[in-house]
Amino acid sequence: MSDPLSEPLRIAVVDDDFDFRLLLRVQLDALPELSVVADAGDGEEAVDIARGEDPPDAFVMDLLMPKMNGFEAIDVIRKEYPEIGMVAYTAVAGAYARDQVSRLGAELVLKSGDPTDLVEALKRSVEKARSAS
Amino acid sequence: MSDTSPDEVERQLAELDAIRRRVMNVIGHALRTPMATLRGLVEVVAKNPEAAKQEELTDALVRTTRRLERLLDDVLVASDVSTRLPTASAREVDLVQAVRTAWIEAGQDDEGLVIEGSARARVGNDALRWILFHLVDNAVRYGVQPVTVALGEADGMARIECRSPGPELNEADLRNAFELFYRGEAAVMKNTSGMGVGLPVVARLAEHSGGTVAIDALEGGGVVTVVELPAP
Repeated sequence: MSDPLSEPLRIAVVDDDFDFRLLLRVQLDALPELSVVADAGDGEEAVDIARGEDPPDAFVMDLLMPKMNGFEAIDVIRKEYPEIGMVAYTAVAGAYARDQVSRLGAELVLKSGDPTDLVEALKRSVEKARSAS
Repeated sequence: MSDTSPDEVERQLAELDAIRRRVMNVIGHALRTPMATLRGLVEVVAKNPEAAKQEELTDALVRTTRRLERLLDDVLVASDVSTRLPTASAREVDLVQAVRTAWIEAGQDDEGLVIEGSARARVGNDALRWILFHLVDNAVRYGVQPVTVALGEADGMARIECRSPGPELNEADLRNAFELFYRGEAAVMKNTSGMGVGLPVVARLAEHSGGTVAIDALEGGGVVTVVELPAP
């Protein structure tokens, strides 16, 4: 795992939308403080990445996905790997989604927001996860 | 003069308001990700014009723009706006080839699809492509693979029977499946994305092409969607 203050954070992006995933990869890889090391199209693949030999420092996780949705994937990964940061990155979030994400100990950022909001949330989530684990 | 009571008027207004909220919520959800993708891709290219030379980015821009266009067209056709109905003349089409092409265009692997039988239909190419897009999209989005498509001809009609195993459908899902912007319980509970226009679009296009569509629960869970189109 990398030190959030000195090395680029290693990020996995999870979204069932191929083109949005590509965009995230391009946007985040362009930032010196982040490095996208994996991507996935649903929650099951995300869990596989977390259980792999070289898990990322944090996930950017869409919530509405087939097979296993983001809520379920965050829950599984947070329980097994509490040191991994988690940011729910969603198109629309009502009160239910906000409550669920908060209960699962993840940050929430809207896709309509500025990408810098996502970067800040990723840093916060990693620091919070590491200090709690 | 209407003899509708004030209470009844109030109830109907509340019902209309609930429908309006549901429709706007569904459309908002469905448009948000492609809009965010389009904006993000344009910003990437605007900041770094060299990025426009990357084929994967320009391909994504084209795909996302087409997707937004399709979402709009879906809403128009499902809402019975006749000006957006396909205009291509009917011609004889091999349904085996058409189904296989729709499956591959959806980015799915060959082993996920089983085609039984064969049939030819007399239908406009764009209408058929649009119908098959939604049949495949529903099967991929809500079901598990392999999906079986049984083809046949009888009584002057070509039959496309798409059997997609998946979660059990309840009575309300079956009853409301063709209602615009209705999303089934399994889709909502699993938090999958979608707008609830696929089957209404298929119904409108099938009718426009001289055919029909019906759905039923698949034994063991899932759905059978049957589209009938004129045979040559």
